[in-house]
Amino acid sequence: MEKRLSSLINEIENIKKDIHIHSVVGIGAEAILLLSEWMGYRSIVKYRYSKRYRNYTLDVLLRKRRTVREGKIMITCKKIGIPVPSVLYIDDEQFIILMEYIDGIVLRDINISINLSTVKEMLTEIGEYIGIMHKNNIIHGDLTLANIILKEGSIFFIDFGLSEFSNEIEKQGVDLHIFMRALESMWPSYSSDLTRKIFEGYANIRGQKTAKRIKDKIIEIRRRGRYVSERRKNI
Amino acid sequence: MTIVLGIESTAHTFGVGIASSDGKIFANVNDTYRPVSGGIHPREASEHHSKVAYKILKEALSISNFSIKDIDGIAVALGPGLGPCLRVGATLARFLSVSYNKPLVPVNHAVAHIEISRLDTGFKDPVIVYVAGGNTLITSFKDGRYRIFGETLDMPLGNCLDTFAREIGLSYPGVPKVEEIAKKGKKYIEMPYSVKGQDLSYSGLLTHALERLKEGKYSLEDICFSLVETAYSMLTEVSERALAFLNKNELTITGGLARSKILCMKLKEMAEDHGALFKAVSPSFAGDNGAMIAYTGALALNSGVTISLEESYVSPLWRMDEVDIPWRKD
Ligand SMILES: Nc1ncnc2c1ncn2[C@@H]1O[C@H](COP(=O)(O)OP(=O)(O)OP(=O)(O)O)[C@@H](O)[C@H]1O
Ligand SMILES: Nc1ncnc2c1ncn2[C@@H]1O[C@H](COP(=O)(O)OP(=O)(O)OP(=O)(O)O)[C@@H](O)[C@H]1O
Ligand SMILES: [Mg+2]
Repeated sequence: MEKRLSSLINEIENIKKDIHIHSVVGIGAEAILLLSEWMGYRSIVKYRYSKRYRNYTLDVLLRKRRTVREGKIMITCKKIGIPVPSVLYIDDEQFIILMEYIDGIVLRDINISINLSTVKEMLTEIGEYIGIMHKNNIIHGDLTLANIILKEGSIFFIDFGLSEFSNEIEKQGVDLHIFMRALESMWPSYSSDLTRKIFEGYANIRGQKTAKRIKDKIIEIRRRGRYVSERRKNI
Repeated sequence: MTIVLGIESTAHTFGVGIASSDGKIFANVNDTYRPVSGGIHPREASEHHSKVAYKILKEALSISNFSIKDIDGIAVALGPGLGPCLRVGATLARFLSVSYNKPLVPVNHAVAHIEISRLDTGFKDPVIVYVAGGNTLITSFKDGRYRIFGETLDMPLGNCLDTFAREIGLSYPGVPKVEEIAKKGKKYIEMPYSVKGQDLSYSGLLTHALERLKEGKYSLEDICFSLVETAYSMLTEVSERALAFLNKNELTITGGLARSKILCMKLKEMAEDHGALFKAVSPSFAGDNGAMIAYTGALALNSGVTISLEESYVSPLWRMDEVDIPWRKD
């Protein structure tokens, strides 16, 4: 592990010589994140490294596509008032993004039992932001509890590698379904309360009628997937 | 120590296993129905199960050297699965339970795939990739149950490749046959790579691969190669997401696709790169089997889980995350 980390850091230092790396913030599923300094800014380097488990052509294709999307959509989000780290630099040939460092904690690491009312308030706000994204045809694509950072009571959305522009209700439904399922697996005993808060916020932005349509869509989506064992009869 | 006889009949396979709560497998006898053409016909499969049931039961008992009187309980997979198939197992289980006055133990088929994999790999608290003909999901234990941290939004991986195999004239099980052809492919053709957060979707990929085939521009080998490569990379990626998210250090695969060397290699490389251990369940416990129902039934009976005859109806859509797991502590 140690060896792997240092070789990845080496890789980045060779690609981008003008950054000074301080420490490893984490290895996500896709990328390595490093706290660093660039032109005097304290910033995060997100580097999508190569995955040896997948075909190289596919690997390059995915890393490039996601770097481009992440950069582009974060910039759009900023414009429409979604709280995201500021993007400082994008290199889609080398799969690197530099962005503002948010010194907070991710939602996953919150102790829910002692922070229940705060979390509920936040989820209404998160629901509102998701509503704003959807209203602007943005699908986040990866709404998990590790992809929302809290800093001094403020929310930040990160990790837009799977995001896309779309106004399809199906995609909006999947976006919310993924977030609901994340809550259900993480905080099962509170999840129905928490889900209600998300929809409260979502409806504040999109109106009751649209919110209801998306809710119905989610019910339909949930009937597929793990409830699929009956389906193969018909295939 | 509790000894349980377990019956599996949720889909293609009819099986009887005998196992103890401390993890000894005394018998694991299975017979898989292979449709002559097309996909699975639930009624034909259930007829197969009825036909082989008695023979398999006898064989399992004789291999184990137990008489049914020595057994502490009868376990049966009540779901998820195909109604007509499930009913064969349930009927036999009820009959044995009444005739020999043994407690009846309900077992969730998905939970059984997980428990046999934990037993077989020796992993205590792994992230589990459960992938078979009817299921594709990533799960791990949390707050008393197996929670879902990733799953298919439409079609299971096994079903996707089995369907493709059928379309090119290959019989069930299709996955190993498609893999054989894929090994001869070289060129990667871009295909819909559909990862959505922790979830994934296979129906678009299947449609696309079939269209490419009709087009006639690419060789079957390259199409199979690209299909397998895309499908397995997607699954490895969502497994990677779950592993990183949960911060655990053991990864295992269970279900019929655990026999796939190609898939296991990808998962192994990924796990290593995250500093985690990877082990697949052994081939004999990978596909549907009686032993996993027996072993999980023994764990359950040991924790006092039983069901009355009246309540022992089958549940084709029984979700894994609805099942309490009293034999595990957080
Ligand atoms: N701008 C930032 N400021 C502070 N921390 C960050 C920032 N961006 C990412 N992180 C931290 O790094 C982790 C991984 O980041 P990110 O989600 O972007 O990577 P990823 O590899 O796409 O992750 P995954 O695919 O596992 O969700 C986050 O969960 C968060 O803890
Ligand atoms: N050697 C093999 N390598 C890879 N895949 C295999 C192999 N043998 C069988 N399979 C695949 O495994 C799947 C069958 O899995 P399994 O025996 O667990 O039954 P199932 O009824 O589909 O399972 P479930 O109800 O648990 O979803 C099929 O898709 C089949 O093609
Ligand atoms: Mg993330």
